Amino acid sequence: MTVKRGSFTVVLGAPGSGKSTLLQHLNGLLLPMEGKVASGDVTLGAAAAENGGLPEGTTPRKRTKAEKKELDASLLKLRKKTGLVFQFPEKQLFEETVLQDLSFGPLNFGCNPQEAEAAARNAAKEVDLDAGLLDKSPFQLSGGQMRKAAIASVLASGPQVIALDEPTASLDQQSREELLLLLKALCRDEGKTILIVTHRLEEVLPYGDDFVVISKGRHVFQGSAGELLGRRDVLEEAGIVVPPYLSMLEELARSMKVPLPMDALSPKEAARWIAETLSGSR
Amino acid sequence: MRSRIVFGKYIEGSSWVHRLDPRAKTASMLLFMAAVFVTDSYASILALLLFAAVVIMSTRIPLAMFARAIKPLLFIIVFIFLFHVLFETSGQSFIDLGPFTLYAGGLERGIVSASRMILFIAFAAILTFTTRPESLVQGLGSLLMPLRFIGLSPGKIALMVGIALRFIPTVFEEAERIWKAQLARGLNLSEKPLVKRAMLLLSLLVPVLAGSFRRAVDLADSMEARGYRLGVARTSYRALQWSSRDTLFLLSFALPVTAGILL
Repeated sequence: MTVKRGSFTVVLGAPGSGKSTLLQHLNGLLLPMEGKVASGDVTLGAAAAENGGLPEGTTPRKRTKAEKKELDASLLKLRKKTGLVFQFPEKQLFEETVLQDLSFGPLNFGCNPQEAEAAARNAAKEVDLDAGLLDKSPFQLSGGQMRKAAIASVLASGPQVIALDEPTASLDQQSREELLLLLKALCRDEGKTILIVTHRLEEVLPYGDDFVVISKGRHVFQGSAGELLGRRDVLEEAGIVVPPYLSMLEELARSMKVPLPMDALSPKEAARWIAETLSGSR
Repeated sequence: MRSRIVFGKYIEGSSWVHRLDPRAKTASMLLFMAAVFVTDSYASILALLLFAAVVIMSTRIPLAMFARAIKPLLFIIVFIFLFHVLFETSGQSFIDLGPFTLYAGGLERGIVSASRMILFIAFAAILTFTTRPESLVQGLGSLLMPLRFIGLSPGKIALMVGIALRFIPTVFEEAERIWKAQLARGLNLSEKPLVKRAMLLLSLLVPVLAGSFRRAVDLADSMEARGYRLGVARTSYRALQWSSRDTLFLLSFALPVTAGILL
């Protein structure tokens, strides 16, 4: 699969389909056994896997010092470019204060303390995290604030690509929308590449430019939202639930013998389309 | 991280060792430990090694698994061996190596001590490899029953051990996830001095500990919500059943102990 620079890409898959594995590859936390991962001028191929972390059961060839150094250097480069937000990232906060946690990334990537702090404050502002919270311990924050802080801790390193594993899981409806709008803004205004992994189609449908479906560890579809909705077979096979309002829309279109609208991707747009169709203005 | 640790794991099987009563296995293991403890000669340690080999073979678990259980402690075993060989001065001296003189007594003590360690680990491994953690805990609770008379609650102890065993892999998983999150944010250990590395590893403890406390509270709540009360008599899904085979197994362990004391 290919992810275009500056796009908002959604990776859909049922639980256990390999979404999280895919995400870890983007950051070199897992190394490929076959094929390769290429990002900018960094390529991690199967050769890297031979030298790197192999799954249990196989005995890796011992890396020579030079090879290890080279791998480390390219991994660091890749990780600077690609920020990875894990599932329930709030559980990973570990420093004494939120500010220190946000500075962790920038410091690792070679910023001096002043630059790191500036980057941290900036990232907090970007996710709309109250500056007064920065000097608190991460454990004094509420769940929603911790999630924001954790996302800011990745943004602080200034990655070009931001990959997120189910970022909206267990957030309330309002925080979900806020978060997705924030990501959309990062993508649109700052040209960041956003890659979201999720199994909830309805919440990402209005935001994504490009949709990838994976099923049982295989890449089975890539295309726009409209194309994806036209491929119910793909969705069904991959075990992704079609949002109820879209099923309703489809039923309605069929019984009224009108073509299915391809632009009605959010519930609001769908409702408008239904109203317009029923009143005969379409 | 967690997949490499085999010690304490249960390995599915249907050998007669698997089917024994956990109480018989735990008690036998204690007997065996006692036997290992009193041995101090080639002859007796060889007898125990043979005995252990027979039990290990009957579990039908590949030897490699036992080797993997011993591997993390190999360094200590080698250290103990060398310590005895180099510094023990009993028996006849037979080799002169510059500052060190090797003695037959030292060699014997080295071999016996190293074998002792191996036997300890191998037997603990037999117990955990062939017994489901639940049965192990259940057996433990039952074996600890006499403690009631000195005011301790065997049920509480068994519950604590059971929960601890259950959550070892979970805690490892969590630590691994946090570790990966830090790697993703550019953590690069290889360039850091040793002290700094240790500090960073320590920083892993904070979120892991916080997570464990949170989980403990949740677990207690969910157990209470389902009607669990501490110190109340409970029935169990798998009732322990002591058969003549268990008695036989236990008796067969009395053999090496007496032999060990006599030899």
